[in-house]
Amino acid sequence: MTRIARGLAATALVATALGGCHHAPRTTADRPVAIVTGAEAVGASIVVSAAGRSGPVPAGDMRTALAPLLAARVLDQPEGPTSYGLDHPQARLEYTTASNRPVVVLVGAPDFDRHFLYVGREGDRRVFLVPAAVLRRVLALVGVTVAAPS
Amino acid sequence: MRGLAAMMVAIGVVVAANVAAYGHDTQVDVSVAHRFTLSPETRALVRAVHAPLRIRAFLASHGGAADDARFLLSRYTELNSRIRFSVVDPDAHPGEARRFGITRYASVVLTYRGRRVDAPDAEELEISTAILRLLRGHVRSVCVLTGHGEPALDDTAPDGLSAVADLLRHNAYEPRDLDLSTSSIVPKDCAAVIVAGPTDPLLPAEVQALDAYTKADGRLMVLATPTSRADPNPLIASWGVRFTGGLVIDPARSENLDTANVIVERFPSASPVDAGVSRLQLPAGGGLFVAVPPDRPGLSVARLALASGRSFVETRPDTEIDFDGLDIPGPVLVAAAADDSRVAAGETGVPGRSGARIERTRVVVAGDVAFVTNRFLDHLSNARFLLNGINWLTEEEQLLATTSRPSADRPLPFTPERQTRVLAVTVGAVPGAIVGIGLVPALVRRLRRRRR
Amino acid sequence: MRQALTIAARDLRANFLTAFGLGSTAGFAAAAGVVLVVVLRGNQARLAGWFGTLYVLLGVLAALLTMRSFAEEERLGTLELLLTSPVRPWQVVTGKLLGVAGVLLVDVAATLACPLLVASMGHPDAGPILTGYVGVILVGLAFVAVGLAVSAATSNPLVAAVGSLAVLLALWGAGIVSGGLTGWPRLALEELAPSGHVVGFLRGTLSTKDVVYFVSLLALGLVTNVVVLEERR
Repeated sequence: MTRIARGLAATALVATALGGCHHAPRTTADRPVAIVTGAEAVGASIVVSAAGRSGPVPAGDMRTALAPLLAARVLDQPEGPTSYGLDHPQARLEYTTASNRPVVVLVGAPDFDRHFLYVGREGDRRVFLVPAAVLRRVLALVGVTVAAPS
Repeated sequence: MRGLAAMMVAIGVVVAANVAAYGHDTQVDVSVAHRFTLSPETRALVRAVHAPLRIRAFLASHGGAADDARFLLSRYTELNSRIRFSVVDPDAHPGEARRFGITRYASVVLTYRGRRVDAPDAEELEISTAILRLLRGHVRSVCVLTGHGEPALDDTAPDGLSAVADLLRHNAYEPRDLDLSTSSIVPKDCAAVIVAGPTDPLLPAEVQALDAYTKADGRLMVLATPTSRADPNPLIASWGVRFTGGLVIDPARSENLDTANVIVERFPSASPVDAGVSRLQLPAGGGLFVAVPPDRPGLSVARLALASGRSFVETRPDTEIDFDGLDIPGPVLVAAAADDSRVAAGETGVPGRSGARIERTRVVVAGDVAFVTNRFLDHLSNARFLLNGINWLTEEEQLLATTSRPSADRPLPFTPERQTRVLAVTVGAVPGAIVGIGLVPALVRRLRRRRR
Repeated sequence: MRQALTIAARDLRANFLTAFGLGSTAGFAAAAGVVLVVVLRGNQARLAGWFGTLYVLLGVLAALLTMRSFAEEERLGTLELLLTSPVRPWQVVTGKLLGVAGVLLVDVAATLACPLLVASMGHPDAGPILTGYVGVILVGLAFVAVGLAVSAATSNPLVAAVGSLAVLLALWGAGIVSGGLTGWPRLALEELAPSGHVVGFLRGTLSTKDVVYFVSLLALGLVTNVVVLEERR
């Protein structure tokens, strides 16, 4: 009976997950999602670059906003990168630590009402929406102006 | 073999029953105010659609609004297969949002025979009204006065009116400039005239032309501004509304500590201009007051929008911003709508016009023009208010169901305390009680066995 | 009918005298509570998402509750006794259905605390809650009928549960597959899937086509069940 119960529990989980998939939206918005987690950002130097200009993100508010870097929404099944301006990103953020591989974050176009910017992480096909207010000052360091929301 | 035959018969009956139910579906709607049952007016309207009609609702894909919209829109497609709809998440499909010029959530774009009309929300009233406009087919001109320093329709700067032009075009209106310095008559095909914040005075001939137009069944919208040398009162005083000038200050309801950037939350009238309007942002506006002459029984003025009870009109904004004896106390009226219906004598010798007829003048006045500029039009309900005003002037207001539907919004702030309470009851108390009740017979049995 | 009621009463009693029966009821109530917490994080007193998930959970519950109805009886050798007794197959099937339906009703009643809690904290629309529960009963009975039919066709409870879930998932999957099709195949698959027929319940509407669909599923499950038992007899 234990084997039966185990098997059933596993099947029930799969079934619930499959059923849930049918209901699941293409995007998630319940809670912020970490694009770069706190653990990845600990001790990392963050460099912002755009159009040949680059510079380190200074410590303080600006760095706190990027480590961890949180997204308000995630597009799990995005269109191609062109739709979000991620084929020609307007800026990139590079998190480098002594021990881990560098994490590269691409900053794309603003969304339809300019409240968010599309952001991608190299090696991750998902597209994230980060509040424009979080990135505005950081991008200004390399001369990129983020338009105010409509 | 008998079993197989029984199964075949059962499947046949079931399929037939479902096909019959699909073809003759009836529905009982027990949701509050029957949100998901289309009114008879909408049903008749939808049946009159004879060419492909496409509805695109731009909504966030998460949350109940998109699901509700899908469910409601599927009622339309069930009635007429020529209607197709899609719910588009503008964040997930920015290209689609750009293609249709979407700048805010809950925009619904309807296209039919190459024409486009936007609905401000995915509710039956708005969608059906938009379909009605599409079916009517004609595009009406809205003439916007120029030549006195007004913000321009083609100006995409924050202080321009290009967003107003887009809004009008998306709602089956064609905005165009009206220059009364070259012609002393308002063209007959102007369905409405907007005087939007002139900074320089109008010439007497221009005032006369606008007054003559308004008196002859005209439809006028005046958006006054205190930062102007032009006095709007000659255009509006005949219709029971006067502009006080000054600057509306509201210490109780304002934006970012700027007490002149007033948030209006009181809409006391039942006028269609206020329909669906929840809050307005009126920066740097002036006040209005109503003075209906006693000898004008056909004239009625609706107080459309009032600032809070703590608001006042600062009559000397250049010197100080404090309420004193020279200021006008609130609540300040910031928008009004006048409707003057009168019986006019028929014209002799003109076929079909010899009998008495009703003449109707409609005027909408706001003490502010900045709220419709590109910077502010998308704020709060500003765009909705402007469009409602134009629709009311041109008598294109919501002609279908007049019953207002309740908001689908049912806020329930889910605090950590509430979460703990829900978990305690549903995951703790209820399952615990079930197990407890279930264990009683087992315990009784055990006790009996021991006694034996 | 008396025989059917006797069978139902026996099954109902047997269910709540076992740890499995109590556990499944308590587990279902707890799962409903967890889902409620997730749904309420949207800060809206709307239960559409809660009912939607409950319908999916009902598939799992129906599979668990029905897996032993016939398969366990066969494993223990009591099915042969039942089938050789003077009770007719339809009476056996009706009795089994009523037995599981009774358990299902108790399980569903255990979730009533959820909407009551929401009503105590906010102002939910009562209409969708009412139709949501009508949907729960219809969906639950239809899924139970499917589960009973599958259970009657096998002697292994695990196979019965997995088989029931497979059938229900296949039906649910029809709705997903339909998204990639056009024309009448799309319409047919959409109508075949339960997912399209529960949407009205979530919004506060009851339409004949949705009710007919679930009653059809119930009827087809019962007929299949009777046919399978007749064959085994």
